[in-house]
Formats: sequence, structure tokens, C-alpha cells
Amino acid sequence: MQIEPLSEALGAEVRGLDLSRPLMAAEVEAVREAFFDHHLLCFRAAPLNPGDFVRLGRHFGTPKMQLLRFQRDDAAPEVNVLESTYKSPEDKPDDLRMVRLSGWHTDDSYFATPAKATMLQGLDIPSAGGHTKFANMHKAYETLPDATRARLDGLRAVHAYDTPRAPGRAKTRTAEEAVETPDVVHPLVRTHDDTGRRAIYFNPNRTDRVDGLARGESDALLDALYDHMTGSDLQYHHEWRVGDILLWDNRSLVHAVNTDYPVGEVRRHQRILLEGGAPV
Amino acid sequence: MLRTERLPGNFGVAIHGVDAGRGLDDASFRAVTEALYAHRVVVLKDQRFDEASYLAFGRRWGAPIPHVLDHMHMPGYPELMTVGNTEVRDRDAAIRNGAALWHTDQSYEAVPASATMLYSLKTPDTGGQTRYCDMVQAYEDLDAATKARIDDLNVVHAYGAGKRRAGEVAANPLRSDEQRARAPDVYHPLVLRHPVTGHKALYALGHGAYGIEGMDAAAGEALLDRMKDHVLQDKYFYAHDYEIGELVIWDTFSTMHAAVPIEAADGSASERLLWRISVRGRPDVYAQAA
Repeated sequence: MQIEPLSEALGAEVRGLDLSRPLMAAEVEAVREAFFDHHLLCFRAAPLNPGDFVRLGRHFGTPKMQLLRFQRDDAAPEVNVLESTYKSPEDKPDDLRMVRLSGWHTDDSYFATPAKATMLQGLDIPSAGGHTKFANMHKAYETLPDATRARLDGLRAVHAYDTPRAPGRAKTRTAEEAVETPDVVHPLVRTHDDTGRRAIYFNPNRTDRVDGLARGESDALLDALYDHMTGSDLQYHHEWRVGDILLWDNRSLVHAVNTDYPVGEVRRHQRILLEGGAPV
Repeated sequence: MLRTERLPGNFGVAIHGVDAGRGLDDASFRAVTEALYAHRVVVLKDQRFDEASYLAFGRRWGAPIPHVLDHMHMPGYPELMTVGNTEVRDRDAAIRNGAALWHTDQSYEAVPASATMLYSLKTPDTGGQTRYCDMVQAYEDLDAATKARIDDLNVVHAYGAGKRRAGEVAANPLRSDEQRARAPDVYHPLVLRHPVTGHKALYALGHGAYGIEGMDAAAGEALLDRMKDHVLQDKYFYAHDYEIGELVIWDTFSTMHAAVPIEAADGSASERLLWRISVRGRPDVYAQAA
């Protein structure tokens, strides 16, 4: 098994691992170590059936049930199938920034105990575009000016199911789903529970405001943070192939989708989320 | 690129693809004002404002009005008011549901509002709609004899006055004698010509309207009742369900509106929070015509 870095900023490809059989303990340990070093791992494979996908995920954590019921797989309910196809020309706006998926985010932050990691496999991939971009929030934190780091210390932010700061609207929740998603408050800088490294924890699609600041002041602070943390030197862009499995650390990375792909070409992934603790 | 779409009711229009928080050029802003005068209610989708950018956008429509209920102002922004059910004061139903009656903004003042806007920051999963009534269509549907009879009448208004219908809640009460002194009787035409378009509409038959100039109290009230019966018909209504990030603007000279009563928030799924600005006067792009 080899670990090949994918970029300066983050990410590595895991080669020589046979995903069609259960992994051995030493392999899982090596993958875990690479995961902490690189924050994102890519496995090249063929599409797995949902049951096998969940079994693979269990090597790295405990799959949790995801909010939106309509996306759940019937046979393996921990797996959600995410379809991002533009079905008609009206679905694809002139200004692609208006597509919510194009906004930087970290999965699940609107829960009190967000998923520590996401495992995503490409099932149908358009012929062009649709890359997923990742940015390294440890490096973003470490490259902030000292004064900014001092200012962020102790600040907490309100994460909501939706916020007018996001570029488009979140999917409609059922009444049951709404009850499960009250606003939550998380520290704006979190410490990774496995590595102890600090990272900016800001979800531009869900973080509504810095707790206790007026909206204008909060927006100014978050906008400046956004500009810093989405710098190109902090990024890796993944060009999907059918079957690619990405396993990434939501405590360390934010991600966004390049939503410029052709209308009518199916873009579909299966996803599991691995349980995490409350950010501290 | 600006794209419009009819709202699901009898009137009103949604506009996609404008970013009012960053400021609009005159042509785009004029297009929004024209959409308002043509459709009475305009919804700008997916907006992002802070206090300062919202006030700057509000000022393009006219002079923002610091509301007579000073205790409702946003700290540091007397021309902005929060509306909803999330603040401690909103546990008082008289405040939380103080707009749950048919009314026309600032019709109890000598120079009433010309436009009002609400920016939606939190939407409850159920309830919290605003109902609008189309006062232009309601006027046009009157027969010629009625129009001739009412065209030159003036209505007398005072904050808190007028009869309420079943389901209407009293207006958010004035708190002090000083606030009462700032809300004396005022007169407005029953049939108003729109200051920009010149179209006629029935004006301000809800909260505060309590008599007709030159008629005795009973006859004035009876005429207002008949007019209110006429306008409060389903065919003139549109109820708007807010979405986060929407800016909803209405033309106060061609609509009345009423909030749907709501409970105090119990967890964020039931939270409703909007920022309100009401303005007097004309949008800046019509300044030369004024």
C-alpha cells in the first residue's frame, strides 16, 4: 500500500489496497495515520453497493443517520444518495455562485455533534466540470496574523440549517427534520480531537453569525475570514472518476463544488457520515 | 441577470438575480420600482444585508421613518425595527401580533409611508405569513355610481382607532402620553391617486380609519364598513410565506396587509425574525420627476 500526496495543501491517494475484501488491522491503522496527516484520502475503486460502502466506512468510524429522509437508501439507510444533476437548463443559473453546492461548507456543522468525517463515492460523473474543491483549515488558522488569531480566540458562532449568508436556499425540511435541527453554537476555532491541531471552524453555508456581535460586525469578521481561508494555496481540487471514494475530515477541511457541468448529464454520489463529538 | 416570476397568488412578483446588498445601478433599481408599481408586492430572492447595507437600500426608496413605537427600534438604528417572535418583548402577544390586523403603514400619520420592506432572517416552519389585499383591483371593481359617490371623500384616522373584524388583533399599543401626542387625528382621501403612476386605489380602510369627513359618526362608520366588506374578499388576497433571505417590498398606496398571528418562538424551527423599514416619499430614481 502506498500513500501518494495529491497536492501541497492537503490530500493523498491510497494505492494498492483491495477494497473488495475486509481490511486488515494494520491496513486500517496505516490509513488512519495517513488520514490525520493528509485530511483527505482518495481510493480508486468501482462503485460499491450501499451495503459494502457502509461496511468499508465502519473501518474508520460509526456511520450516522443523515437528516434528509428522502435521500436515504432503502436497504442501507446510513447511505444517502446525493444527486446534483441539472435536469433542465432553468436549473443552471447564469451566475453559478447562486447554486448552494458551490458555496464552501463543512458537512453537518448545524448539529451539536457534527460528523467528524465524510465518505463520498462518485456513482455518475459528468463529462466535464463538477470538481470538488477542498481547503485546509489548519493551515488557514496557522497563517492568520497573530492579532486575528487572538481576536478569534473564545469567539463562538451560530450555525443554522439555513442563513441568508448562504448563496442559495437549503433543501426544504419536513416538520420532523426541522425539530431535529435547532440552531447550535460552536467555537469559531476548534481543536482536533485526534491530533490536537487547531483549525478555523466556519461553515459559510450554515454559519449565520458570530454569537453576541451585531450583524454588520459579524458579517465583516466572517467575510474577512472567508477571503483568507479560501485562498488558492490552501486548496486541492478533485476531478472525479466514476468509483472514486473520498474520505475527508470535516474537522480540518471545508469543501465546495465547481457547479459548472453540463445540463442533462447525471451527477450522483453516495455518502456516509461518521459520528463525531461536539467541537471544542 | 434580473429574472421575474409571478407569485402564486393573484398579484405580486418575485425577482431573482439581483444583489441589493451590494447596491443596484439606477437601471436595475428602476426596474424593481416599476415591478412594484405594476404588481404591488415585490419579493427579491436570496438577499444578504447587514444593518448598514439594508438601511442604504431602504434610503433609495425614500426617507426611512423612525416608528412612533420607539421601544421597537433596533439599537443604534432608529429607522430599523425587528419584527417577529424571538425577542424577550415578543412574549407579549400584543407586541408579537401587533400587525395582525388589516392596516396601511403609517396611515395614522399626516405623511404616510409610501413603501415598506421586510428582510427575512428567520422563518418559522409553519405560520408567520403576511396577507396582502389588492386595493387597486378592489377600486376598479366598484360600480360607477359608487365610485362617483366616494371619489372625493376624506377618511379620518388615528392610531388605535377603528372597528376590528373577527380574527383581527389590536394594534401594538402606544406606550406613553408622549407617543399619543405624536399620533393625533389625520385625514386622507378614501380614493387615492398613486403619487408615481396616478392609478386610483381605495386607501387605508383598516387600522386607524374611524370616520368620514362631513358625515356623522354612524354614517361614516357604516360607509367604511361597507368598503371594508368589499375589499376583504378572497379574490383580492395574496398570503406570502417567507423564505430566508427574501426582501419583500409592498406599495402602501395600492395594498393593505395583515400579519397572521403566531406563537412566541419555541426552538429555532418556530422562530420568525424580519427587519422592517418603512419610507416616505419617492424612490431616488424618480427624484427629477418630483
